[in-house]
Amino acid sequence: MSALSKVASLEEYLNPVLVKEVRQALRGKQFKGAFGFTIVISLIVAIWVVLNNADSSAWQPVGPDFLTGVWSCLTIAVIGFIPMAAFNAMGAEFEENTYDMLVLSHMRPRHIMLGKLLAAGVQAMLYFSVFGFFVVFAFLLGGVDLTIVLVGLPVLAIVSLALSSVALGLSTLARKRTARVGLMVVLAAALVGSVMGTIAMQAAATQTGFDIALPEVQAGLSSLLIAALAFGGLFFVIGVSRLAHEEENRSTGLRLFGFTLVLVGLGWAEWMYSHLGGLEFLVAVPTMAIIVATVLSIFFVSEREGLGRRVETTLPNNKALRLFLVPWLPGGARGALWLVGANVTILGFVFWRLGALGALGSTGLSGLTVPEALEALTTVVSYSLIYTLLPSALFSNRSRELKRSTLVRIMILASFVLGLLVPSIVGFLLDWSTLAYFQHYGNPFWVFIQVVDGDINAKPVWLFAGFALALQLPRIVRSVTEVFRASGRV
Amino acid sequence: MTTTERTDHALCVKNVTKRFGDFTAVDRVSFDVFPGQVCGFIGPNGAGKTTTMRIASTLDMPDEGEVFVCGSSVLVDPRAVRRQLGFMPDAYGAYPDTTVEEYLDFFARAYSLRGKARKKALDHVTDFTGLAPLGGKLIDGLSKGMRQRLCLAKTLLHDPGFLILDEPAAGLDPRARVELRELVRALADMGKGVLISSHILSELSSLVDSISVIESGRIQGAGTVEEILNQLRPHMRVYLRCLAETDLVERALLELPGVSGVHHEKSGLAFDFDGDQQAIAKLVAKLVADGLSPIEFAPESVDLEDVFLSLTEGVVQ
Repeated sequence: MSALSKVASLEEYLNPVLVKEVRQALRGKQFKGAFGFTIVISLIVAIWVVLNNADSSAWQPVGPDFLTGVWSCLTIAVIGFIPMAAFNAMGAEFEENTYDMLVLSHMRPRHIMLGKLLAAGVQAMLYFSVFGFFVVFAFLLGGVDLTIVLVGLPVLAIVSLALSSVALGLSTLARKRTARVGLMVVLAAALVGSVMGTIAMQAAATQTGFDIALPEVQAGLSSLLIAALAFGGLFFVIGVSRLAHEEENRSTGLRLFGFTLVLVGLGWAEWMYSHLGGLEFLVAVPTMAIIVATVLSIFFVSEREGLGRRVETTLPNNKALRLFLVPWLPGGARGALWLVGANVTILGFVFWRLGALGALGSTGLSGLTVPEALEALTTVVSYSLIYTLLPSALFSNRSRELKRSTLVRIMILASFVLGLLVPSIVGFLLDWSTLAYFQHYGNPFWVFIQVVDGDINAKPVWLFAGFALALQLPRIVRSVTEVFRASGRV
Repeated sequence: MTTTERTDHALCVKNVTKRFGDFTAVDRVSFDVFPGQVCGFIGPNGAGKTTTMRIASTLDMPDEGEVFVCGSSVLVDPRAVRRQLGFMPDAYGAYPDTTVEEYLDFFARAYSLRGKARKKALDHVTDFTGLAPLGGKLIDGLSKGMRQRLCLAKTLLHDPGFLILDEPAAGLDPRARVELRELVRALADMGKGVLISSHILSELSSLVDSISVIESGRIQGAGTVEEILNQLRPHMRVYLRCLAETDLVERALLELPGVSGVHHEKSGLAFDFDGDQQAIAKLVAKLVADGLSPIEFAPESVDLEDVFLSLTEGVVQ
């Protein structure tokens, strides 16, 4: 077999959804229209920039202006059009009644998501390949820093893929047309914001230049890439989870990815600390990690309690392995265990890293001392447990109704809002100024600041978190018992 | 429970219950389909047909009970079920801007068919369904009948052992219905089990080997048409007209074994007769021998519509 035919034979192993989507896109009006429109606009912009500068009496390199113009068009295409097309492509599977047929084939949800994502990537590549000529021309016009192009293009490609992944994941959240329209509006707003932000960053970098060797630039780029990969990855996993049948295990993948995000966040905090110095990264990033884990756990703790008939049959027969698997398996109480595990991991990391500095060390964050930082983070963890575990314990979903899960989620959000507002309203009615001005334990932001300043005792919050955890214990015990009693693999 | 049970069945539905909130869509439903058999699944709208079919095709889960397809459990091993199953839903979709060939090629790839195996499968299903000359045509331009054929072709790509066809004849013209019927019969002759639902009972009656009648989520009767008729009407209903006096004939009939419920109808007599073909022959011979000169002896013919109307009450859930 010749090398060429070997390469051609690889086509057999391409993701079927990728092949189908690219075929459809290349024949469809949407891609053709957007592609043609973008190229025509780019040409107009390019010609306008050149002609505009040709009139100048004093010649200046027009490369930066030219690059900014065509780059803006490329950004609109790969960050605006392509993610929106990906959203519609996934939605079409539900609207055209083709999704069931896909599920019944040998394709798994991750193959479907990956195929759609790769198809978005191929379409983006088509745009990049055409815009390559414009970029080369901009470089020939002079004044363009090659580093910007070499760094900017891959970053743009990654952001485009990440946003396409977000669009695909978002598209799986609603199958009814009305809900999809709402999601489309949200996505459109996010894409417009992303396009404007990206164009502004690129324009600033092109006009002023940037030095990739600077640690601040590296930190900024790494932050952007980590955020893109985290969001893209998260929505990819959400999409895979939503495409799975509701009786199948929709939770474990998300829990694993959520925990991975937490670990990546901690690793990133460590890298930023060692790269840039400044202990604030060891406080701020773990705080963000706690918030991310808490937001994800809203979905986990509100899941209905039963393992489900199909999940039961996938459990290993080894009891020790089952015990290890408990926090990763579907079910609200097991979601509570996951959150506790994630928070313990984050706190453990912070205690280990900051504890090594000694009790009197300074974190460098507005003069925050290590003990104050540890106390503040413990308080954040406590609020995380209070807001999620208390409502889910009171309104847990033991029925098979999905509406019950929605109720738990609403109650979690309501507990935050009510905790914030009710004491303030009472304070306002009783003319108690501190309460009225949100200076109470129901306001986690105020408590956090007070703890950092050393003006308040955080122990009541910790005790309340312990109470929320205690309320969960019967559920947790039942959920562990269920895993041990499940029939397992047959 | 084991992952493979009832390997002699194409489909085995055992006490399946499915609830949506407080509403029980399917209530302890049980029936079987064997390889090479076409089973008609009939019932009024909202009876639970599609829900049962979706459960059997792994798209929904039963709250109680179990379903086996070609020996594999939909609960325990849905992927093994999907390998053996071809499901043609009532509302199937087609991708826009896609040709017949591309559509089938996509699903062949989705069923993990590679290289020569994929080409062979594509050639086979397009020949079988008569779609070969339409390979380059866009799906959007196909007639309803051709789209049904396309969906059937897609369903057959991975050579499933059991087929579920949900209202495949809906919206087809008479010719297309006859052609579809022939295709389904040919599939059963290949040894595939087929569960088919349809509202056009006259079409089903000439196609099915057995039926399962469902109403309000419950099976009202299951088996061959003959078996169900025997359950419903243990006595054959016969219309008799003779040249002899009707009263004379009536007295003679009442003396014969197996005859009951004799009454006047039109210009003759109708009666219930309990007996097999041999007994009928003896009865006619006796009437002739007695000089009653029978000129019309017509056992009442009962078709699928009669069975359906007898078993169901028109209850809508």
